[in-house]
Amino acid sequence: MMAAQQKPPILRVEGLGVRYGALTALAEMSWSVRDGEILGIIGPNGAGKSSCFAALTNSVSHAGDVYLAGEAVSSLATNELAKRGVRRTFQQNSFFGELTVLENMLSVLVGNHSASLATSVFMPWRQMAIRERGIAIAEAVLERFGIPLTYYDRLPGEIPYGAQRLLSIALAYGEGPRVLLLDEPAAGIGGTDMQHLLDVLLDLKRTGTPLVVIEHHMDLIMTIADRIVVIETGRLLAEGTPAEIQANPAVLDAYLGHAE
Amino acid sequence: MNVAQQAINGLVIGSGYACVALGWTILLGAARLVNFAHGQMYMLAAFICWFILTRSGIGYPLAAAISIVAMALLGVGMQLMMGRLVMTQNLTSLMIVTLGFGYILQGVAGLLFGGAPHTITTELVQQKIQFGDVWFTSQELLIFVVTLILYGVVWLVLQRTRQGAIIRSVAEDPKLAQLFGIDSRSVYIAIFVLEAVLVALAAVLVAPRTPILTSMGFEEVIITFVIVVLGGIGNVGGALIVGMLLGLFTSFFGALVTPAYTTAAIFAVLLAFLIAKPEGLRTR
Repeated sequence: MMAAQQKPPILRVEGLGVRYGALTALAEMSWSVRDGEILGIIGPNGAGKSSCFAALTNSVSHAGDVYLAGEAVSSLATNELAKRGVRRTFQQNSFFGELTVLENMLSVLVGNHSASLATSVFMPWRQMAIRERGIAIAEAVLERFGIPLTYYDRLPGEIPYGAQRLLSIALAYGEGPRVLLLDEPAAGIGGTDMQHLLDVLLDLKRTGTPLVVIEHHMDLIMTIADRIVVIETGRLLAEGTPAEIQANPAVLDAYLGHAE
Repeated sequence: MNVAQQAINGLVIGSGYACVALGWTILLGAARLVNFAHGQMYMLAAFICWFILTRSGIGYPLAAAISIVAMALLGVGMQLMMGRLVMTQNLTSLMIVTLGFGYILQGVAGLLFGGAPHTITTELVQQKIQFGDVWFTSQELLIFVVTLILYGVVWLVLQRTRQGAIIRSVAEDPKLAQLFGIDSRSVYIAIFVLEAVLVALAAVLVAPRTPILTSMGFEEVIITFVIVVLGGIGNVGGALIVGMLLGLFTSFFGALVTPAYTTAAIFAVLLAFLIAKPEGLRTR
């Protein structure tokens, strides 16, 4: 416990702020997530939850600082951050619509499992071996996220919505990020898909991937999160364990309205 | 009519077409970008080569190389200017911007080089290779061979290498590719430089066959467009086949009917083909 406290958090944001013209979407936002932890971010629609992700992946211009394992990374471009293991999903599905499910997965693994031109020309057998290995790894990741084998040769648009959500997460996961940011993974799914998603998220946590999860689905987030950050109108409203948050009068106020 | 000779002429014309179209095939197919300045870039590369050959003692290979490097730099410049349009895949604006850029190139070339036709003279154009009653020049053989090699290499790169896989994902969605750790901006610059280099290479190879004019860009971009569309937008193999077939068509149409209406006839073929098979030679 002591050792965990002394290590810097895997991801820490400090004083994040985002403005869209005159609108302040996010201000003075600070939170952190540690190894093996799930941090939940909740708040009403338009509270600035997704702006948090956009700011910390440098997709919008912003104020404040971001630290990855103690190292300042605020000035790194989106793709540099992704290379260093900061991966995210969107509220919408995020995959390449005209590539098959398996090709999508392969395109994410491209850095480590692809051949150079020289290899392809002079050692085609090696190129084939590299490709075979890439396919094996891609299939293993898809299997881990519970995407059935029968979908691999289909386009993502042709598979059920629940499987599309999982594919988006699997693509962001790739070969294992240092921190995974999920924006409403449960949006639009229910029933067995929801249970499946819960299993996948807990499995990620068990195997040591820290998660930051934006979610509207309260049952899900209260079940999986170790800590929860509540955002309202761009500002931090409360932070604590699920039990603390559920008992917090300010949070109840924000969600249920004032009892006047 | 000497059928064998017409077939050879057709293959030479066709490999020229295919060679000129390769850069745009990659640009449109692999990166979903358009460049209507393609033809004028071809023209400019040819004129740079001609200018160096006529005004200095530099030989054809080096003049060609300088011309290619100059076009690569121009490609970087164009892409830097269009960077934002490219990242948002704003194809309509890109069409207008590149079209405008093409006319600027044509205007500048007109001012610098005048409106009169010129010829790029190389030794290879004068070397005849004769087999029985058919013949071709060394330059034509070079065009044919280099085109086949270029198509082979490009196909290999796109299908079998890391760079090809990266280009495909950037083509699909540049912003999403960034989230998977790909530097989409640099990839676009690289693709555009490749387009510029390939069109310059095509120019220095193909242009010596015929007189060059500063107004020839439009014709080149139109033929290229036909090949890219019929080939199945970005299908590298398709572009090669269509380029060759179009060359054979041009050669035989010219011999059997009249060379005057070849361009019109090519468009008639395009129309008929697109009515029958709107997706071109594309497989998926």
